[in-house]
Amino acid sequence: MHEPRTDGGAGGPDDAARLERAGEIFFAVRGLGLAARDEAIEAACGGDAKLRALVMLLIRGADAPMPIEGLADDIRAAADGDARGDGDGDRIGNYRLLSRIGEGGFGVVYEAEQERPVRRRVALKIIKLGMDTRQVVARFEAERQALALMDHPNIAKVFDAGATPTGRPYFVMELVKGSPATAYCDEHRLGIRERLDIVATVCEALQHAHQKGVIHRDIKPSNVLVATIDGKVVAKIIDFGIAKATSARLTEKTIFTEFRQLIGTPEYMSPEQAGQSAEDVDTRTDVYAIGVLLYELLTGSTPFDSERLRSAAYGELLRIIREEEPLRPSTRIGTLGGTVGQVAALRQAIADRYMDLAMFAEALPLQESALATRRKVLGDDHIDTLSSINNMGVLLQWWGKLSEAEPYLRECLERKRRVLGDDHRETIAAIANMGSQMIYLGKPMEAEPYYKEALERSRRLQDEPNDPMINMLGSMATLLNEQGKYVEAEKLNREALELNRRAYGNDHKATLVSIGNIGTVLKAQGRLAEAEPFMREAVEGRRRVLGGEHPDTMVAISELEILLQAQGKLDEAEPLAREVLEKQLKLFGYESLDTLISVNSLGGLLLAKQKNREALETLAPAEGAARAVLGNSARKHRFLLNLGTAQGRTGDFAAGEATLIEAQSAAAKLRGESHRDTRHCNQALIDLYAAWDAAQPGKGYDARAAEWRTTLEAAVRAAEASKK
Amino acid sequence: MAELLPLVYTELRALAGSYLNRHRDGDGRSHTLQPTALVHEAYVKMVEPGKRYGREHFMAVAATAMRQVLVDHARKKGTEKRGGDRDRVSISGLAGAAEATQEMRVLELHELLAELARMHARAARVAEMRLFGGMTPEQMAEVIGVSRMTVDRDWELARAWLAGKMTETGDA
Repeated sequence: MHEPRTDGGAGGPDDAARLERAGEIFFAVRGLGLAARDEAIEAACGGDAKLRALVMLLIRGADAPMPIEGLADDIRAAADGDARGDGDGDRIGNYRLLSRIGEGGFGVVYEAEQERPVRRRVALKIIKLGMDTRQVVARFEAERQALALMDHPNIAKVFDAGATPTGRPYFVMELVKGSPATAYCDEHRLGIRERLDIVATVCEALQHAHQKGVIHRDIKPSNVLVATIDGKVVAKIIDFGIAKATSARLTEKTIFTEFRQLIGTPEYMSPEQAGQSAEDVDTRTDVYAIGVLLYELLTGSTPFDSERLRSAAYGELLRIIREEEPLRPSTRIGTLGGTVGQVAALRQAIADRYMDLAMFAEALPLQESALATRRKVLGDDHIDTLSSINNMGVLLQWWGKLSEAEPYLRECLERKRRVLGDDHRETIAAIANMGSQMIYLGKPMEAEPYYKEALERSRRLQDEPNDPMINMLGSMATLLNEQGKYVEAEKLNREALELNRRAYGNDHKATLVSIGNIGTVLKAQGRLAEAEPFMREAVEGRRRVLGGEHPDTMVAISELEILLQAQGKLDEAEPLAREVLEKQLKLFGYESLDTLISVNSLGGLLLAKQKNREALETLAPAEGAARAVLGNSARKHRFLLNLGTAQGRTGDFAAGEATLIEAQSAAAKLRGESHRDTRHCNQALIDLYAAWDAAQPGKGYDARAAEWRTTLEAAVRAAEASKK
Repeated sequence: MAELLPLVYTELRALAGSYLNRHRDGDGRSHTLQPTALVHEAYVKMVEPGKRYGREHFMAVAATAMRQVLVDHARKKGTEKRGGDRDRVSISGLAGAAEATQEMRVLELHELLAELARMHARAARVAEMRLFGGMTPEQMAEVIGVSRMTVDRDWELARAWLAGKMTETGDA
């Protein structure tokens, strides 16, 4: 049935050397194009036909299917109690491909099922050949932490990236069912208001990403998927991190040059992109693309004609994007039926709302010229001039250009004090702005006097509660809280709560924030029992107002859970910890900082309740993600401390030992030998060796326990000495 | 010895149990090895004094045992008339000549692994642990005591060589 192999007496020392050499050549030529590859092989093998044949075999093999691959996954899935079918259909890593849901110039998108560590449906995008897989995956890994920080309901999560057996890069993303924004709007015949709402959602989501330092770089209708869920129109941005990882836009619209890959789909490409290299791409790229998206949704076409861009030579294309002024939307509006005036008004509304994101480039020159004119015509101290100076400062500040903003803010304050007096509402706002400026500059101590003055003066005015006043109270309270001045912070938070209740009622988001803040400062003072009702109210209110799955709600639940743990109310804390973790796993998977914090919190709680097996089951599946996401932070050694403790207590002494030693040395390196975290690790090691010795006496584990006890005692002495 | 690594024991036993279940004869009679026997054998191999036994090492031994079970099964199958579809080992991505049964593929792989081991023992071991033990690169790196990069490279080489060889016979 099966013949033993007799070809060429494989297995001798010559064969070993030849395989090694063939391997070297194989790895060296793998990334090359066909012609270059053959040439390189020819050069490397010379006249050695056997070597050449072996290299070619490896190259064929790399692209061939591996018949038995996936068997191990089947076995493990079965061992995990999985009664699912028998592994028909394709599989990539942990993912089983279910059906093809999209295809384009970039490659293919599948709906797939992830099996471990959590079972969920995902979208798996396989990029077509022609890219260096290692580079793509490496670039993705570099961005991974930033991507993990994004938690937004309108951003589809990117979970994972890797290489298929044939070496093509793939990305695993949250599965989003929906149509491209343009198609959805047309199919559902949405009016201007609904279209603007979609763009507004996208703006907010992008702002969240930009705050986390992530740029999309390929915003366009097909990357904004829209669907109707429970009667509501929901938009989600997909493909975050992918354009950057693949370094070029992977769409049917991508164009290439001889010299470099052009980053940008021409219709959505910003003037900066058209003029500069990839390194200069920043948040403005996304902002411009949003503008184009808005334009397209309003007018039914992109600002520059696609046909014209397609047929233009490369240089001409760049010139059009950089220099030409597109037709105004109002002159193009066709099918939507809105009047020009309506469109202009709505545009102004959206500009006000998203000034920081979308309108900076337009607003700045306008402000500058307005200010110059007013200075000349009205004089520096005129109220309108003051307002322009203020606008310049705030605009620059919002955009993060702090050093340019500061002279305007200072000048504004100085003139307002002189012209309007210290107690004028405008002056108070200018004082508060200076306070914010100091906060943004990272100088909280210098912010405090500004905030204090603004607060006192505005209290004296006895105005109705208003936004700036409440914001100021909140900022000031946060500031005091960070400085450890909890009693003062508490007072301000209570005042803010009072104002919020009066201005917005009990169920407003801002009121709930104040309630939560009071809980936080009480907890920081060690007044745990008093903090509890506030934290409970924050949770219940957010459940009511925002829903159970809103990120803010989950944060509030986590905080309550930690408070209950600190009070030793473990039985009450456990269901909360489980609830949060379950939701986070569903929404974000393990590769999210929030999820990992919850995993560790629940793990620690279960250990405290001596539910050691459950603790291990909670912690162990998160280990890979924890190592990838947590870096060298204190969270990592705390995670390892819990994991190692759970391993040891469930009888896996060797694994527990290794994990705890790793935790101990990480804690010692980060925090020092005598730090509390390090001492906790020492204690855990002592406990582990004591248990190990009890299970297997006479193997010397008691001696190791004694060694760690000596270490711990030295650490305790050092800690006490440093206290004195 | 019963208190040693109960977690790994449980896992290994579940692995062996489910695995052998999938290799039952048409009449439901299990053959070759009982789950406990397989685990016992793995234990005997594991328990060498003075060594550190981590979860990874256990999985590595389990991989060898799995390979052996599968080969025994395939050999037996090869001499019997094949039963119904439910007896078949499920192997995804089955390719190559239509005539090649999965059992033959397993035997072929087994022999190719032996051949590879004579030329590049470490790469062959990596392939065994990965294909039969479902181990991750990190776990394999831990067991063999080399870097993760080395494991990746070994796997790529072993995979290319094995798949290349199997394609060769499939086309022939």
